[in-house]
Amino acid sequence: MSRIRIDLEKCQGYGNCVMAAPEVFDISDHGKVVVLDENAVDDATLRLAIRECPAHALELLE
Amino acid sequence: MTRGAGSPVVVVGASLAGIRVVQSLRDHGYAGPIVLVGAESELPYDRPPLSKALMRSDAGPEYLVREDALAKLDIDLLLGVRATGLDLALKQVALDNGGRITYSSLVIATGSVPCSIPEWGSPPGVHYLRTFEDCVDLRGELTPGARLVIIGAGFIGAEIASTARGLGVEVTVLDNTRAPLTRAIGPFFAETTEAIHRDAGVDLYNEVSVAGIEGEDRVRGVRLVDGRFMPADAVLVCIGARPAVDWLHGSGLSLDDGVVCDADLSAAPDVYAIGDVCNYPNSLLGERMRVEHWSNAGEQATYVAKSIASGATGGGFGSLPFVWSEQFGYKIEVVGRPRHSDTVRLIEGSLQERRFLAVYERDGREVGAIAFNAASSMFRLRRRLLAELTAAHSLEGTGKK
Repeated sequence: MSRIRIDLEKCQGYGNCVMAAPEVFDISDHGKVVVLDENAVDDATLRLAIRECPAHALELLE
Repeated sequence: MTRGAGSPVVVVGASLAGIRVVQSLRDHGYAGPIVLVGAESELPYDRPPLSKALMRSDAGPEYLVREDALAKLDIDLLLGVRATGLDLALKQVALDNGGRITYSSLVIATGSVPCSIPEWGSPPGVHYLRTFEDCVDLRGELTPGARLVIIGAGFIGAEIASTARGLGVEVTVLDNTRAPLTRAIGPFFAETTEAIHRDAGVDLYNEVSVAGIEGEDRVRGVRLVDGRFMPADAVLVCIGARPAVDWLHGSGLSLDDGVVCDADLSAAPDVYAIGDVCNYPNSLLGERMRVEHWSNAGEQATYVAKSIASGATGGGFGSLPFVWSEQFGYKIEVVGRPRHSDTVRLIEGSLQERRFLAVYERDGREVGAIAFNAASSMFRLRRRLLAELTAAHSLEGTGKK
């Protein structure tokens, strides 16, 4: 079960999440976020990447 | 024992930068006391919605941290309290409630305040936009048929013009540059930014100067230097912002377009500045700058939090500034720090279709980019540009300020 909740409507494809954690996130050809591997970085980096979304489209479920 | 040891990390400024540094401190293992001081009485909230969704609804602020998460951060939160001074020798911050707090580390995150021209006059009905309170005051005036005069066609002015037109407000925009957004994006796109304003029914005047804002009990309108008078039921002044550093005068910190910091965002021993107030040498772009964009606040907050939590610095902060705007149905994104002297090269789309991606070039190198309704392309370019600038910076070696 993924710990990352994505609101695809809010997602604008800015890509801040990818810039912060390219091992975890990418932007698809549709211009929306996709999760590659949510365990690829430590928690602090993951939290940061999620917070950096200007559209607040990502949330870490804890 | 070092002065201040055992004292809390004190963060002055409880908006985006301030709350992010607190979150990052906890994420990076800092378990000691933290005091977060904020002049506004609201819990930390997001400012970009103030000119967008919140300007057209009755809703409350969009808080940056949920209450349960805020409680877990275990911070001493002082809201509605203003810092009035800093004593570097004693490592103390003075507050307007008469208190003084001793810090082990201080993070200055007081943001910016709207610029104003007192000589213009300020009768009731003149607005600025920075806080949620400002948003509530202004949105109460945006009724169908009301006449709003906006002074300043930067990002704020354009977004409010767009929102207000959507609410049936009669909007006049006055600006002293060639076209809306020129200061940020340069003159190459003047026709485009003018057109999107006028197509939305904005009465736009470029290259005009304001002499004053007239009215006694209530604003009547804006007088231009050329004599023309623009009647108004409400006026919004959005001519830029300046860093909120008045409280630091006399502290001994160097203040010059913000708090002057080194590559590690430090202004003095155990004193950091982040966000809108921070004037620092951007290692990626090779120039000293102060960045007022949203993303910068979080990025700098993380850098400083890591330094405080680990006691080690990160090799110098550098980033590719990024800003976005939603106006008149367009999503505009700008990356880098464009100069009007840069060469602009369109690489996708066209100005006519108002959907494009263009790069800014300087000395033969790409230094920035702008996109209109081209988010996917902009994202790929931004990633590539960051990689190129990072590689170029590494080649130039460390130790370069």
